[in-house]
Amino acid sequence: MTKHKEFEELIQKCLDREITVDENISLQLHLSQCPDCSLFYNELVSAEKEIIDMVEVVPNHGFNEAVLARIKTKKVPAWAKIATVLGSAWVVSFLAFILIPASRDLFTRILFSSPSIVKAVAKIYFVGSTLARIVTPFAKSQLNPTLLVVSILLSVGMFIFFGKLFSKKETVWNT
Amino acid sequence: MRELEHEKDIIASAVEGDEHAYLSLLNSYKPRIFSYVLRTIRNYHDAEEITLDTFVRCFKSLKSFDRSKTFSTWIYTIAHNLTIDFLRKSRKHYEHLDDRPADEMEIADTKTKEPATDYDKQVKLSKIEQAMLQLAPIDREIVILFHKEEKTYQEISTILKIPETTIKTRLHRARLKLKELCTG
Ligand SMILES: [Zn+2]
Repeated sequence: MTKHKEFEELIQKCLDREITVDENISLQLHLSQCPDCSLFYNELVSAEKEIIDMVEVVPNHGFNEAVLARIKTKKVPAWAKIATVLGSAWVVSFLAFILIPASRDLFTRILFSSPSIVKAVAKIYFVGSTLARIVTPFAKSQLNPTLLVVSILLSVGMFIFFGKLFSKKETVWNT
Repeated sequence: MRELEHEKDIIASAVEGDEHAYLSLLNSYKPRIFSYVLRTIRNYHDAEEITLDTFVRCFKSLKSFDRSKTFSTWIYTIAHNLTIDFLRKSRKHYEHLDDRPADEMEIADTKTKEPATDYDKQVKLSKIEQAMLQLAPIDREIVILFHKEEKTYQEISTILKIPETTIKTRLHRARLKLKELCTG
């Protein structure tokens, strides 16, 4: 504390970067004449300088990578999504026809006993598994109407294809 | 001014997802934000977590950032908010400045002085750093934002969400306290 409250306030104002030109002139004049205020001013200025000079600390190595890893949303290209959905739909529906029921023997036996039932069950299974394959990835990501329409159209195509394949095999096994 | 324009370009690139732009922002703000948080909470590990969260939150919501405003003020606001959240969660003392007059707060500061944490032990503290630790966390923030970051009272008011007059009063007191501690 100094004896000159008024100049003490001006010093604070100076450090606040709010002092006017005129105020600064009068302050500097006073500082040159008053050792008390001059000391007060110098001590405050040197404390400020020390604050400015405080070293900056950095976080550990790998910080940038950690931030980037957290913000990265991997962008899967549209074609890759389509390929995955339709490819898996194709594989599952094909396998459904070939492997279900469990073995081919069983499949054939049942087929001979009541072909129409098996045919119906297999078709239902195919539709179910295909739809599940298509719908699940959609449910996980966001619903893309275009992709959905394309998938359904292709599924219908596959359905007809397997249906024809099925009836051919039936003919072969029957002979 | 030119620097600010350049920063605006970087932010625009970052919004587009440019990794180099993210790194550029990280490298220019990481030491400042980390030091700011560390000096407020005085724990290296927690400061690192808060700084990480600050950048993640900042980058994720970069699209919503109003580019007519100052990026620096915005990122400091995020850092300050996360710091307060942390101090609240860990139930450490933090002042709610808007509710009480400055005199009362001064008493509260001395009563609830925080125990020394690992920051004190890890870093060989300079005289000014030791003096800074004698201030309340909020005053440390004000001092750093004003003197080190050269923020205006208006910007500090935006970051800390307290009135400019309160900031000014507290800064004047903090300066005197620091002066006493450094020279005494
Ligand atoms: Zn004087």
